Amino acid sequence: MLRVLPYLLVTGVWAPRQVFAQAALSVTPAYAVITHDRPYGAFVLSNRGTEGVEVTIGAHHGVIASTDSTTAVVLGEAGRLGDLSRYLTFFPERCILPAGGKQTVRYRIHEAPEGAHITLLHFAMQERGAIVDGQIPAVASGLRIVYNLVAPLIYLQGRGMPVLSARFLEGTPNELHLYLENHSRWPFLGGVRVIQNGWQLGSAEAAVYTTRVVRIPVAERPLRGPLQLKFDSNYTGLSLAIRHQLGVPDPIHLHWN
Amino acid sequence: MQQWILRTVLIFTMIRAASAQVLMEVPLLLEFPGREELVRAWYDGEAFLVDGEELFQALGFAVQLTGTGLEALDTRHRHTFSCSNPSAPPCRIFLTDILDVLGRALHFDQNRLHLTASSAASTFDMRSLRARQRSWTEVPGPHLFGRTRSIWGGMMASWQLRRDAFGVHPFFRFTGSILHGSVEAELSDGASWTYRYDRPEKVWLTQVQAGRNARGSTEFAITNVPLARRRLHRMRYLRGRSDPHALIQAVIRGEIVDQVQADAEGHYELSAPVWYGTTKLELRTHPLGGRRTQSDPQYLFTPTSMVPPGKVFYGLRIGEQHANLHVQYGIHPRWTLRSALARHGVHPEASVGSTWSPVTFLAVSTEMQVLSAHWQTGFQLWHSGVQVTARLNGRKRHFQNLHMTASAGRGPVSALLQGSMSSFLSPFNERVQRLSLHPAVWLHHHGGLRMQAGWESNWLHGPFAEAHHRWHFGAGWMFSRVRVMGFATRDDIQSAYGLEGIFMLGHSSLAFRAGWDADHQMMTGRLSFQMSSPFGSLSARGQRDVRGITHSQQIQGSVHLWDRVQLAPYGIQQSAVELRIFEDLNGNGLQEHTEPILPHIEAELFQGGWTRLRTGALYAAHLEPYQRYQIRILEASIRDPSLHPATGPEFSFTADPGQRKILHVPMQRFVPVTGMVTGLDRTPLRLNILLDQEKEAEVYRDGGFTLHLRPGRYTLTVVDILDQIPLAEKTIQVDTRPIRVVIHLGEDRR
Amino acid sequence: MRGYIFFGLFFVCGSVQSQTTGTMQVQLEVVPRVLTVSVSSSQLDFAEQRADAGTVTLDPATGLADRKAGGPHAMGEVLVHGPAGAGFLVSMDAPVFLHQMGGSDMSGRSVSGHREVRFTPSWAQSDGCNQGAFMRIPARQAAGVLGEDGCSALRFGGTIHLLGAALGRYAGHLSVRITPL
Repeated sequence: MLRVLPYLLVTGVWAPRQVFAQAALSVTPAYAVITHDRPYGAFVLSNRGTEGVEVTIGAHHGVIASTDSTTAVVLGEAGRLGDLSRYLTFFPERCILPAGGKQTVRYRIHEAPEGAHITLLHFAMQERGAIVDGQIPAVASGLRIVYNLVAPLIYLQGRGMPVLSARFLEGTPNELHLYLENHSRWPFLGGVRVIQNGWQLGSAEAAVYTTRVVRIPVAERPLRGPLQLKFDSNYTGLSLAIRHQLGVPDPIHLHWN
Repeated sequence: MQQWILRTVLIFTMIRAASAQVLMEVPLLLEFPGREELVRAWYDGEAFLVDGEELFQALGFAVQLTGTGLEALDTRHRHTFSCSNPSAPPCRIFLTDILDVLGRALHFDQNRLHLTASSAASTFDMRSLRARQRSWTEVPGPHLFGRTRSIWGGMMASWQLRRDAFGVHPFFRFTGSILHGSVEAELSDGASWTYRYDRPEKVWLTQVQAGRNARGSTEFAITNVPLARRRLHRMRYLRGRSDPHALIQAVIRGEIVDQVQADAEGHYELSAPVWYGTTKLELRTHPLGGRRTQSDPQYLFTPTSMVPPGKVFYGLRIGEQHANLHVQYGIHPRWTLRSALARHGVHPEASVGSTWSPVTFLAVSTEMQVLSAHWQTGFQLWHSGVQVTARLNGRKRHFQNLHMTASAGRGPVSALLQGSMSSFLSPFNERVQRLSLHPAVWLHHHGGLRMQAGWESNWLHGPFAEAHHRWHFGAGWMFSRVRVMGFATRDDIQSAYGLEGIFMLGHSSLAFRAGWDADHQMMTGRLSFQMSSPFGSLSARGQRDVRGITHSQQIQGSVHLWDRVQLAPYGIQQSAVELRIFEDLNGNGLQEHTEPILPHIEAELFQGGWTRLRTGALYAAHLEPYQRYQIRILEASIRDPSLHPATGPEFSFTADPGQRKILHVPMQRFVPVTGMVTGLDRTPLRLNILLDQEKEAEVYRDGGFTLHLRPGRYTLTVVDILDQIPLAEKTIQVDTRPIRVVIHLGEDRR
Repeated sequence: MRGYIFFGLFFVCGSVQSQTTGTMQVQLEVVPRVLTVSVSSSQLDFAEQRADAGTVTLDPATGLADRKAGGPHAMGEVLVHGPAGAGFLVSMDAPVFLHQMGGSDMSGRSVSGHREVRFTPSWAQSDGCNQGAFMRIPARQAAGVLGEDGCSALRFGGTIHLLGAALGRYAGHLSVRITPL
């Protein structure tokens, strides 16, 4: 105990350094689903910090998908969803937001084939620091981290029904971990409800493009026996028009052991 | 207990065996403009030691460790210090040694463990800290569409016919935008006309007027009073002191009008506008480190009679029978002086006066006629919903009249108290004093309930004493289209009870009042009807009271003769604007037949609202003439990412008096020009790209820049914004394809 | 007496925390899922290393650098704000290669050692932005949850492998993706 004291002192004192003039970037909305009725839209970037920020915008084909253990941004492939970046134009590609500044990024989809297409818009941010006399530029003497805020952009040309399959993974006493797999080329964005004997145990929202692990908080563990998964189109931020366009898959029957 | 302490100290000393002293490591916060850093420091009970390498590197020096000490170098200085522990890293230097050498550039606060680098130190750049973000004071955005004049800009003829017990009264009026100015002519009981030439943006002469009045005498007038109703009275400079490097914002009505980061000692200077009327300014302080934001509201009231400080407004009017000159001067932000000279026939008159606002919410105005010694004083006081106005007038030392009004309101209830005291000579040359008091209370509940109670008393003192009282009470309900109220009044002469109300349907309204006069035992009533149609408006009124039945009718309308013939029910020439946003396919800035208006693009009109016409253009009416309005095109509604407004997304225009102003906004496709500045000898954050000496673009951290241009020939200049010197220049030719430009600072010098 | 020592300890640690941590603003978003990312530092600086150091690690959980030769080191620091309890994803690239800067050695003179240095990133997350300790996340991508104050702090560090590297200055960049869940 007594030996620990000085070490505690050193660790406690040696707190992380922080530079306080900060750039703070946010992108509104956090994701967008558009259809061929209105193949355009806009994101608004805003810098609420006290330092300027440079934002470079890029579109990369990819998806948010899960394996059994992790959920991650996967670039380069999106299951059966098409690559939207080929049909997308946006402006601007690069901009500077001063402290408190805002910028609208407008995009438009040109003719895309039938199906659902996805792209992940990367908003890469770099702070613009204070100008200090005599500092020679631009040659980084270390490793520079480029932080990217990622917003998925999904375009639906036509209508279709997503086909999902589900299985339960190892969860926690308060959460069921459900692994959902999408076998169609249409994404599912909506709510999942777990129902047993007519009683709803829990619900959660999910966006399933290829695979996704959904954590459903439950008040009590299910009993052994049949379970039903029902789907709806309640996903925060979706307008009614888009909800009608997205398909809702049929319920899935599972067995809980 | 004591053994335990001893053991602690012993073990502590053992662990720290490497150093000869027992040192406690403390964090030292190094603050300098724009940044804060933690530097390692130690305290041995008496003196502080600092990690010299970390400190000097943080201050921007290059550090070299010698055997026994440390050398800190920069382009202008070279300091040498000795380490207190030469053998082992880190190099600890006594803080007092550092402070002796660096002198006033560093300040050490022992209690807070802060080491503050002064903003006056030459190592640091002050400009980047004080990055101001100034919002608009009057109307932001480039003023692209000013006052337009024409020889024939349109005319409105308005007519009115009134018929009452005394006969038929016709009235005609013509207003037009003619001969680069405006003309107004009236025909009723005589003919009168006026021609005005306005110069709204000028300072010494804003309007020249010449005309002939109904009695036949000609008149000429000049003035420099601003034609647009001014909102901004003056700019105010706020200086203060707060936490070091805190972000200070001046906020008015939720909008940040100025913001600055305080320097290392906490000094700041902000500028904020003062509007006519009440300005509520909030001073927000955001200390660094995420501590709680402070907000201090301040109120400032500026009566509309105050002239902006340092400005002189005059008006001169000369006619055949009379002449007058009035001058107003703003001596001080809170004090305006007025004086007037007049001649009516052979009688001259001079007056002086002033308006003074000694404290917020109080305004005092006085006026004195010099020759006849009549004076008049007024007080106005506002505070949290209570308003008091008092006016006194008199002659020499005799006070003649006092009028006072006090009103207050809170929620649905409002109260008014009117009082007056006057002294006058009766027809029998006796001095009579009169005091009257009139309190009234209203209740306007949002649910619809309306109640009203009032009482009026008059007392007369003189050779006889009289008192008259009158009270009035009403209660009723307000529905969406109907308002009905039952009332009762009673005074010495009569008492009446009844019902009154008003029905509203679209642009028509019907007001009625039906009552029972208890003293005369008869029904009284009043009915008035108003209706408007595109051809004109009609109002009729009939009344029955003790004197009998009276009625009158009136019709009025107007015809507009410009652009096309239009009929309107209103009688005033109004200013309007039509915004046509079109796709400029050939890029010449003019709308041709093949270039349609884009009906999906939205715009905001500050200080107003739009309606969308069938052609797709945006239309706003009832604008104030000569006033500047701001338009902001909502980028998110443009849809096509490659279309951009040639005017820029924000701009302002001046509303022409009595005219419908048409604004064309071409939407064009620009060519992207991607550039790179190479041969950098300084940080790219200091550079700006000037386009033909005008528009600026910033340079990114990697030296790149982007411009969006119309095809043409341009000169790009790279400028250092701190030194304001141009560094390099290049001419480019832009056609329809995207191009890349490389500007080398060494080779492309001017 | 023990109490006084503990009090002193907490006072020093506590005062340090109050000086160095804190969020600039807590945002209240009407649109759900919108995150605000505040960058405190985007520079990962290993400073100077001895060529025979083998591997040098910047530990994001503790903020300490292991086995560096000299100079101040720096780690990438980011604050993520959003609705309290909201989830977000962080993912990083696979091992990144730092390249030697400057082209002056292109004259043909042979320089011993290769010109690339491999860097394995690692990162740590804290629950809330005020008092939490940083916990190292072993995977390259993980989901995080914003704390009750609607905030989470992330710190990025990693290990560079210097074996056989030529002398000189190295630079590169690492992409970090933050997505609302």
